[in-house]
Amino acid sequence: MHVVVCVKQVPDTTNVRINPETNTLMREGVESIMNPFDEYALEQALELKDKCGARVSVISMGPPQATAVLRESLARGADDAALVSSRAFGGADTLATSYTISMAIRKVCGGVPDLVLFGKQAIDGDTAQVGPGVSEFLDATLVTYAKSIEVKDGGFEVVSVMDDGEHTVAGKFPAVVTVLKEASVPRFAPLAGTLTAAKAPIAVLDEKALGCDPGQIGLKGSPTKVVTIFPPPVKGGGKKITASGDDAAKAILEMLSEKGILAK
Amino acid sequence: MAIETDVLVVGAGPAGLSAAIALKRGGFKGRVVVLDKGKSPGSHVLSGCIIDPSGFKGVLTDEEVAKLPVEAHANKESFRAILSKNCSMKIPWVPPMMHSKGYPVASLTKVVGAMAKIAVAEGVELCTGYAVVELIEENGRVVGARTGEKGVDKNGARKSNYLPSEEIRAKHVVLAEGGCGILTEKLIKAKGLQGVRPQSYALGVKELVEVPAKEGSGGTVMHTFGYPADMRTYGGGFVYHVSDSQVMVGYAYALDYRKSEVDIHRLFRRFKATKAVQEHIAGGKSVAYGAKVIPEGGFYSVPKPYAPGVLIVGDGAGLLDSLRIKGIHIAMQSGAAAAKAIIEGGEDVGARYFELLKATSGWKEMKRVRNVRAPFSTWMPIGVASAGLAWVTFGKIPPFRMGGLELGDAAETRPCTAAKVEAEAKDDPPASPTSPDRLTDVFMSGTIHDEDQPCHLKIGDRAKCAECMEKFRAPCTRFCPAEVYRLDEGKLEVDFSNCLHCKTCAIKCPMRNIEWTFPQGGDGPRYTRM
Amino acid sequence: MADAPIIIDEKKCAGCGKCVKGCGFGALSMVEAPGVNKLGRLAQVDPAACKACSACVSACPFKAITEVKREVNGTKGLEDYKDIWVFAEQTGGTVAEVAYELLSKGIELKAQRGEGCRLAAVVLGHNLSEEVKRSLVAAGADLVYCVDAPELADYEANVYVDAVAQLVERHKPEVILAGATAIGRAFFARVAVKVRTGLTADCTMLKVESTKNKDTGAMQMLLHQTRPAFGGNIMATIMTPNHRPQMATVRPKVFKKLPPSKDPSSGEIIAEALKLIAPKTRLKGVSRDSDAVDVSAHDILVSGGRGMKKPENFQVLARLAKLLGGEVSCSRACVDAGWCKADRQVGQTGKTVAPKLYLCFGISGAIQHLEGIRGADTIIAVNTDPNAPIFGVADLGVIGDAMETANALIKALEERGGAAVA
Repeated sequence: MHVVVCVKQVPDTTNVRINPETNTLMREGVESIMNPFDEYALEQALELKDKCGARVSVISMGPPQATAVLRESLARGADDAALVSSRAFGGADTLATSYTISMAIRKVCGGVPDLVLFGKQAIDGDTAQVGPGVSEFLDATLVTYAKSIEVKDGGFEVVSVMDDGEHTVAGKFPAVVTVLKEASVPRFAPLAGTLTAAKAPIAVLDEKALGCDPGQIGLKGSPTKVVTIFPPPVKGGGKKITASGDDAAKAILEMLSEKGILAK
Repeated sequence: MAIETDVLVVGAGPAGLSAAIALKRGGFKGRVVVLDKGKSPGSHVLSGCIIDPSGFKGVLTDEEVAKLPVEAHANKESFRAILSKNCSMKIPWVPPMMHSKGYPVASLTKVVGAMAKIAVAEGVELCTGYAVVELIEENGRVVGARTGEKGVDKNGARKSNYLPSEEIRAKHVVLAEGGCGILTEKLIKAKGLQGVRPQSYALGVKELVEVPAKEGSGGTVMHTFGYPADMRTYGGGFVYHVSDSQVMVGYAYALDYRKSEVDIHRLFRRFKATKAVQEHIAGGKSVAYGAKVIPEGGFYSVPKPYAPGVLIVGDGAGLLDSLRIKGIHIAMQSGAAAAKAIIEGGEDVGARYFELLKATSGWKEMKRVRNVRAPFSTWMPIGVASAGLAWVTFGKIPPFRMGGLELGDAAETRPCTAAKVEAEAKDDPPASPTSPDRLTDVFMSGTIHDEDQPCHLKIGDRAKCAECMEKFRAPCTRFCPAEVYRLDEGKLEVDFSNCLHCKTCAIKCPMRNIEWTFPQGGDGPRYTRM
Repeated sequence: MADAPIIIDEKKCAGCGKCVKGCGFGALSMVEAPGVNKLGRLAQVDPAACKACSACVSACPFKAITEVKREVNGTKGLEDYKDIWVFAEQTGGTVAEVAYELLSKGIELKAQRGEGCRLAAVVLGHNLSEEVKRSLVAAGADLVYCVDAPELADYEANVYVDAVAQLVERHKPEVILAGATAIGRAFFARVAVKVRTGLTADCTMLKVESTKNKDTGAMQMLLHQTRPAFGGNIMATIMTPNHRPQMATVRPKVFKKLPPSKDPSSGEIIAEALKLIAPKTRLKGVSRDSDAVDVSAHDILVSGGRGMKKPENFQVLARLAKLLGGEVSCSRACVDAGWCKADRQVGQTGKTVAPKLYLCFGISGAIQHLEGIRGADTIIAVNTDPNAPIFGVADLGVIGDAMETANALIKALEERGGAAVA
């Protein structure tokens, strides 16, 4: 069984702000980390490796520094890693990214693997689109928001958390599954693993290595266009009243109606 | 199975990385592993920020030094005595030893980040997020160390992601833990390595303030002494413009202070509210915070910096010029000296290291100002006079060792009353963008600990805490720069998640009732611009 | 190396640096170029960072920057795409509220678009009742595309993708909106890829701009889609200029649901017969109970802090939360004190939440807590301390007793009949 985990290096978003003077992203003092949701996807893959000896490959797309998240994955127990990186991929939106990653998965696996795992979403973009997008390019079964993944009867059984409860669904490979953090607690990398991973070879794949259609990558392959960015409206202190009991309750109910939370 | 290495460096600060880089550049063929408990290189590193560049020599090339992330060099210097909130006096003549003209004014966190990259490029194996919690000793010789376990819950039970401790065997261990290193202190005690007197510390707290850009202000530096410290406590502040729009503001306060009611973060806020400082930061906004102890006992507090199998470098060995409060350069020199001794591989590597250390310019400086620190604990003017005298006579006068500091910092604390605590808490500067409250500061340090782990700050005997509350009014609730300790209806609560790993509590608790142990590796502050 | 999406004319560049300030992505910088102009410097673009947003083009006072006209791999026959669609998610015969909210917004967008644009609802399912379809008309739909098939009895992402993609290809809508629910967020992203267009997820603002197509001269609609990014620290406005349909998802409760405005019998209901793929997964069961609480998944949170004074008081908050259709959360102090379990903790070391309503009692609001609720739409705080920092971010601050107010609120809600939640 072959499992591919797609991990992304993201800025620790708690620190990303817009400089109000210049309207630019302030990245100073912002660390790069492995997208927290991807850690759960990786953990699911490693558990499948523990349970049924799956081979776990890790793929990331990003600048050369993104090898850090791949080494972290190797240190935790992944078998091999590849970085998809080229300036030609710059400016890719979710469509172009989905295409590029699907090409990388095909390249690394020599076809479509049994299982491709993604974190639920990345904390920088929060789009949750690339996992489903890749499933389309790979023509694989899509299951989202998995809380657990099991291999059963040659296929999978996934508990998927939907708005109306937890759906247990079964299906056949190949599949693309996006993983929730409820799935498991990510393991730590042992020091011995970290030391080995630091020296491990990591393949760097560009558009030529992947055989990409130039029209489908980077800015050119991206239908969406960011027109402006701006800081979110500042939440100033609103109304302040001194009241308790019924008077306070009345004021709160009024606010709830005004905000459309409660029917008038 | 143990990991085998030739050299294990504990701590990836300036001293540890200098040792590692100097080893590789000195032709050392063996394996060099550097471990640090911080999440990434530099995340637990903090300093004043003016770097005496003499330390880079023999470690980095001139080209590398030129490429360090430094935006300004000290160009305009002043030295002020602050008398009160609104009144300060420029010292017309700055003693030559205080000059730092041309020195880089930079974030040590960033400089260390750059050094880490150079180290890795040289073949050093640097791993962050791993706390080394114990040295392994066999037949009186240190032969390796153990990393801390991870994934233990607050009751001590193993979680599903439990990671056991790992053993790493090394021919040489270089301890580069920084000020008040836990393994270092244990080793000093166990092996009787203490110097003439115990180490004395100061707590340094610091903020990075973003100010409206003013062309040409980068490189302006100011040192202060006086207010808000009292006349018998060695304390001072600094204001460094690291760029045209960023100012480092810091305050250091000696931990041998007597007044238990003193709150160091509050002093820092009072310092920032002075006219002398406001001139530099008004209209700005504090954006980062950190705190760390400075080993400022000087020459007489330096321990014997080695034992079989282990060398102590940098702040952990108290290698700091206690007049200028500068230690980065000596830390680097000590690292380079340790590397040289290891490469030479003589009979007694430790003794050779000490010999090489004594030949460094940093050591000579320390010797020259050996009598500077102690007199400051009597009365400030005596300190100033004695410091000047020591300097102009190259340390020949006084010819003897000045007394003071023999008891250790904690023992200096005097009892106090609730009334005194209350009086001290009056007239806090109002919260403002350049004067955030302590919890906001803690937030800006980025510190974070997995809360489902055993509390790493161990309170020994709760009865002692009760005694302390009577006698000293729980000074931990005031000296801690991170609001780790708080009283909840008379009971001491420990919010260890706030901890900045500064070690003040391990030093200053008057009952010596707090033990600082290692939290899970990777936890703690996340300094990025300190 | 990719070419930069903009060209800087070195002869026109005066080195003023306005473009650097105008660029939101840090893609422009000034480089020393002695003698080239008075200031001796030139603007330079980093192609890897440039997002081709063209903000610099308008920022440059010297018209030195032009956007490279690139061949776009766009949708052919853009002008054939018409109408605004709303995906009406239904489970078990109940249409999700967000569908009605989107239809309400759709009425507004349709008006902005002008003549000839129709608002349509798309509903998938099996044995769908007439009532369900007519409710969509009442909410504003001019027509309802209805796919009724046994494969669509339960939600199955892969069949849903197939059905919607087929409808898009058949009828060519200009815009499709869906709720950013667990279902909407999942399959919609794949639909966008299948029809090779752009999708903007989790929009909080939508606006329509009618412009002339540069090539054909025909009027077309551009949808300005605004959404938060970087954990809510930044807002971005996104467009899909050359691809159709323009797809967006919107979180529930972002837009207001208007009361039904149309005669339910007025609209046209079109039964679409599609040849669908077989479901790829089999639903083995649905369970609703779960011990663990994910407070970040709730739209309404009733939160308590140290000011709640004792653990029993949390039962009052639980009752209030139930009446409002939300969950109970808390500050760290309450977890430390053992009043609440850690999974309910909100803040820096707990969960980051972004509910529609954060109603908190006895929470002072240290920055560590405020960080965790930055994404909340409406914050109402009750606290006795008038200087509590929570009041600095609250839409409504009540200086008063927490328990008294909570109890009064419960009483008032019960009198209304608890189910009156919008």
